[in-house]
Amino acid sequence: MEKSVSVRKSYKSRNRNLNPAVLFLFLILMLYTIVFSFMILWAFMNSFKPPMQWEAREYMQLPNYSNPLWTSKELQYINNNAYMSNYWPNLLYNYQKVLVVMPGKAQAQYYVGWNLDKKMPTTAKYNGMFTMIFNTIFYSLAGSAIIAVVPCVVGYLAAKYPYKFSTLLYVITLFVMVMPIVGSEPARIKLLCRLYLFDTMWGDFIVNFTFANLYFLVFYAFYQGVSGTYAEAAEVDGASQLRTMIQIIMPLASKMISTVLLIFFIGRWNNYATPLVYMPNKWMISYRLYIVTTYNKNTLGDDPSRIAGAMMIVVPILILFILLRNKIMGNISIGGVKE
Amino acid sequence: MEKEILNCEQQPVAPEVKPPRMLTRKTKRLIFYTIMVSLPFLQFCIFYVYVNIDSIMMAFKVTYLDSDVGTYVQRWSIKDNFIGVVNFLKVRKWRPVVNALKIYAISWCTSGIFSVFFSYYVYKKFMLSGIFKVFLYLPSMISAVVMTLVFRVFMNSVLPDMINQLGNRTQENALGPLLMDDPFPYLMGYSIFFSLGGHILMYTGAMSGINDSVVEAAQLDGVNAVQEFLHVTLPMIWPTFTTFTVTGLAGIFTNQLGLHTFYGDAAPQEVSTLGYEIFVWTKKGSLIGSSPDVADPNRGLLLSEISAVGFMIMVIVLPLSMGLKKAMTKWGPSVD
Repeated sequence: MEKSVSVRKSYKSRNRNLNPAVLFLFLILMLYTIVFSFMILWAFMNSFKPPMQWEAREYMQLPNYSNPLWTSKELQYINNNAYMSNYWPNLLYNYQKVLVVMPGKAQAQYYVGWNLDKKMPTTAKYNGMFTMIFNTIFYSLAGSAIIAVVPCVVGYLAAKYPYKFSTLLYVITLFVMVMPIVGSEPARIKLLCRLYLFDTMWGDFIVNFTFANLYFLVFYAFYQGVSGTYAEAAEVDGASQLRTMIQIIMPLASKMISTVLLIFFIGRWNNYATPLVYMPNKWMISYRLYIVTTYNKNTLGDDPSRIAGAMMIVVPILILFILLRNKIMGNISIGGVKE
Repeated sequence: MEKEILNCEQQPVAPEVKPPRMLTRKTKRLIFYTIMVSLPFLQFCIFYVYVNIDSIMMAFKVTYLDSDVGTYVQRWSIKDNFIGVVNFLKVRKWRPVVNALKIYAISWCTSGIFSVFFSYYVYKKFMLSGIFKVFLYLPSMISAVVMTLVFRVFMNSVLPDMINQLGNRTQENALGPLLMDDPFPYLMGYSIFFSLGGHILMYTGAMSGINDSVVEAAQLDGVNAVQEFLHVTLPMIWPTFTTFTVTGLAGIFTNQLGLHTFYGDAAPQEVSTLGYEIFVWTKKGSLIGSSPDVADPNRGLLLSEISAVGFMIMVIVLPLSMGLKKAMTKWGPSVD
């Protein structure tokens, strides 16, 4: 036994020895990490930089508010932009600018009920900051909960209820994953318009109420490995099928559900493309920041302000990632969660 | 005796009280199963089956203005949408298709392969692997808006200025914004850089599922890290690698290269991809062409033409995906 342990240790230590191939990978990874960290830190630093310092091409210097030239130019800038008149150049100047330009009236056009001759502008809706924050949290949280729970429930049913239909569900999922479907968005938009679900979050939730994705396979494999005695014991004690599933079965996969939920929460928080196409009048933080920093670049007149806007999306996610990185990076595999 | 029997027969029979009907466990399970599965299945029928059938039908319908009636009407047409797509691509010299193929090939050869190497590095817990794992995974947590904005600012302002200052370049030969003239190499580099950690969780998950005794047996035979990767790890994760390669092929014409995040609706035609064009023209949502001239370079894709593109891609890519999967399974490394 002791010999076996010592042999194993020697193998582990040998594994850690750097041979040329491993050293090569180490160098690439080191370079990658340095470049990536530099970009994030550099961007964070520049989000505080007075725009005039940026115009003076001081890209690498720390933010400096003491230069009287920049201050006077800033004053001129403020005088030319009435909406900034309440603000004075300071550490959060760029962030204040972003917060000022973000709210507004949404008035995207779309087909009403898919009547071909009625591409009508909707009534302009004012989206304030609180509306956007609420929209973002609701869209991210409720949507990710649906995406995490539906495959879990259907995966459990397919794994533990041995009907022929369960096999069909499994085959459907494999088919959907292999089938390269592109360009079905027009038909989906058309359907959502007809159901009066276009430009609503409920439309997005219903579209995502799907079981046929990778996570169905993950949950299916997980529940196949779970013994049926848990459910049987609960049923003997008089628990209903629903209660057994909610109180006994789903908690077994709670770590996996929370991992999937977190991953999708972050993905949906960052996602601007789906709201842009399917919910053009429901403004969310990421969607709106994309508009003011990239799509209509002139809305924010300078790069430091655009970078500040970008940082407003990334900082909450970075904090969440730092706090929950072990949960988020729990190894999900087709065989379940590895800890 | 007979009398007794008669009495017995004549006695009024008490009405039989049936015990309350209890559902069997089997029935209860079936009812529960049916209720729970019905909604997701209905959703699948509507938002996958119906939508895709309708999408195929849209590919064979065109919308036009009936001048006699004065309203828009739809009519069946086998070829109009497909001709529209081909003309659209011809005007763009087939660049969206060529670029999509180039991106797939380059990405597979670089980040596709390196992500497996990096996953192995993390799995074997070589030096600083914990930190590298976090940094490899971080790009998938950070919004593409942020990364593209920082990259664009850096490439268009900071880097050219640094090069000009270091090289003492005059105003005439000064290096301009790098993402202006021929941005493809830079965009490709960006795409590779930020997808190096792609699928790292899935790969490390698959690798950690390898039985320790297999690894130890190999190490007893004296293999080094490279040999262990080639002869033990790679064959064991080959199904996962095959899955990502095949699904990557299936998504070949949906890859945007982040163009919409970089340029909005105005990406240079030289770098445009089919995925980008589909996204932009879906967003614009035109049922009727703004320009009847099919050779007009500004003419976009109509919604029905996007459905036609999707149909064409499905017909081409499906057999390719199946063939690739079969080939990789047949000629890939064997677990034996």
